[in-house]
Amino acid sequence: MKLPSLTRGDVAILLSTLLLLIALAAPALRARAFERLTVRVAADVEVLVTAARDYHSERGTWPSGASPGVAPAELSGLFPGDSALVFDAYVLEWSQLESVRYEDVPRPTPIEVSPGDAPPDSVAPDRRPVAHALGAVLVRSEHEALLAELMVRYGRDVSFLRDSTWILILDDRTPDPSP
Amino acid sequence: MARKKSGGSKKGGRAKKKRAGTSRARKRAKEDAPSGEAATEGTAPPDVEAEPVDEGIEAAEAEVVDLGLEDELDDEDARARIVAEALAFVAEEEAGPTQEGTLSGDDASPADRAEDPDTVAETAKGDSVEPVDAPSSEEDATAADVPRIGAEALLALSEIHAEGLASLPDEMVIDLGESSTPEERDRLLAAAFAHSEMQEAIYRVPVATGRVGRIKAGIASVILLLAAAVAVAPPGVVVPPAPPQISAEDRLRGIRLGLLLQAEQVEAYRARTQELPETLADLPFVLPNIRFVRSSERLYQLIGYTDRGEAVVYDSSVPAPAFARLRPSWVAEPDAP
Repeated sequence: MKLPSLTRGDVAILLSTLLLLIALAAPALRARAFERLTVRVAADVEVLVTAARDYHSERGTWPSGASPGVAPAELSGLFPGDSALVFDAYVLEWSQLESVRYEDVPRPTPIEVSPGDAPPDSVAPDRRPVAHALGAVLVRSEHEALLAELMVRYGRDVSFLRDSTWILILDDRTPDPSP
Repeated sequence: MARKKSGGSKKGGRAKKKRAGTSRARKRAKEDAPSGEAATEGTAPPDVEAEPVDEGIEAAEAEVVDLGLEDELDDEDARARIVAEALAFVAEEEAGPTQEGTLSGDDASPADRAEDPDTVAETAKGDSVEPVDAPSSEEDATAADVPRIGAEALLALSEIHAEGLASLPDEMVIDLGESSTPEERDRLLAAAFAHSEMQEAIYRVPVATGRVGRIKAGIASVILLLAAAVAVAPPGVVVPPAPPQISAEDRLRGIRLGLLLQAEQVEAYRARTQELPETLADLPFVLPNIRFVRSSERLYQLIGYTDRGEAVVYDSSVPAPAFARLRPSWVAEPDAP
């Protein structure tokens, strides 16, 4: 087969044009790659959130906390392996948190007093703090744009950024935070 | 085209004369040597041709060796001449026996014709081809741009094919065992030269020189600079919307929410145990980079730090208004229903 005859000048022009095309296409290619990454991490978060919510609706408690990258023992059937939540650009983590809720506590029986010193009819109920379990999905990544994208998707009310970690709080009183 | 092709350099001219002398020497050797001895001579490859068969042809063989074929094969003009002359010689050798009935004697016929550049070219390429090697000093400057070797080699190859003298596959096979006559050996030599020229012409990458080369180099440089500029600062047309970035406000909000979340863990611990933890290590969940200061049996402070090292303090007795404004849904108010 006879090859086309190319001078060094022709080859240089071809290579330069190729580099120019790569430079022009690079931003769009990077954006596509980032979009694919965000879709993937959002899907992984969604799987974990759904599994945890299902577990909570069945048992009334959240799965127990686990180390970063390790699925909680209660969900190990869905995420088998010691590093089932470790991915290329990020690591997922499940944690169980606590918050305080204030619950009404019945007052003790009022002491009988004389009619002249009668207490007021309405007495506010006694409110007492009670520990209440929360669930949390943490995404650890050095890719700040990825964490920012997650915060935008899930909203600032139930999620926030802390250092290189995005934290999504799951509360049984709040609706499903899925985007 | 003819003008460019005729731009054979002076070096080519010198090589031509040298080769013409070689042709004469060969003929002289053939005259002097018996046919059987000539056959013995011809079975050796070109580079060992100098081995004398007998003293009668020794001088002629020495001239053949002086050709320095290996050196001249590195030179485009010389290669072209070698092919052309070899073909001319073969043609003359073929014409000689039929027209004159002998190969001997006439020094002026084939060799001298080979010495004449125009004659050589005409002989090699046939009447339909323009002469290629008329020396002209004014055309030397443009000679470098012309891939004349490739064209001549291919022409020589086509002639050889047309004459049925040899077949030239990619792998050139010369069976010297069957070449019992000088004519056959010369044909094979010419075929070998033509084959090598053809291969080189096919695979050679011509070097752009002169004005065209400079223009191409300039174009390539401009495109390369443009590519570098686009890579460093791509135009807005090709840049998609930037992904969201973490603003300073988001970072500060994250620190405050982290302190609030940690305070919730402390309060939950207190609700369970009716006392404050000694350290954050007593809690099941601890965010990093938060300092816990227990100032009394009932009061504590949580301290976080911004990237610039500024402290953000959550005081359990009087939380700053900034914390109250955050009010995430997972933090309950004491007076909430």
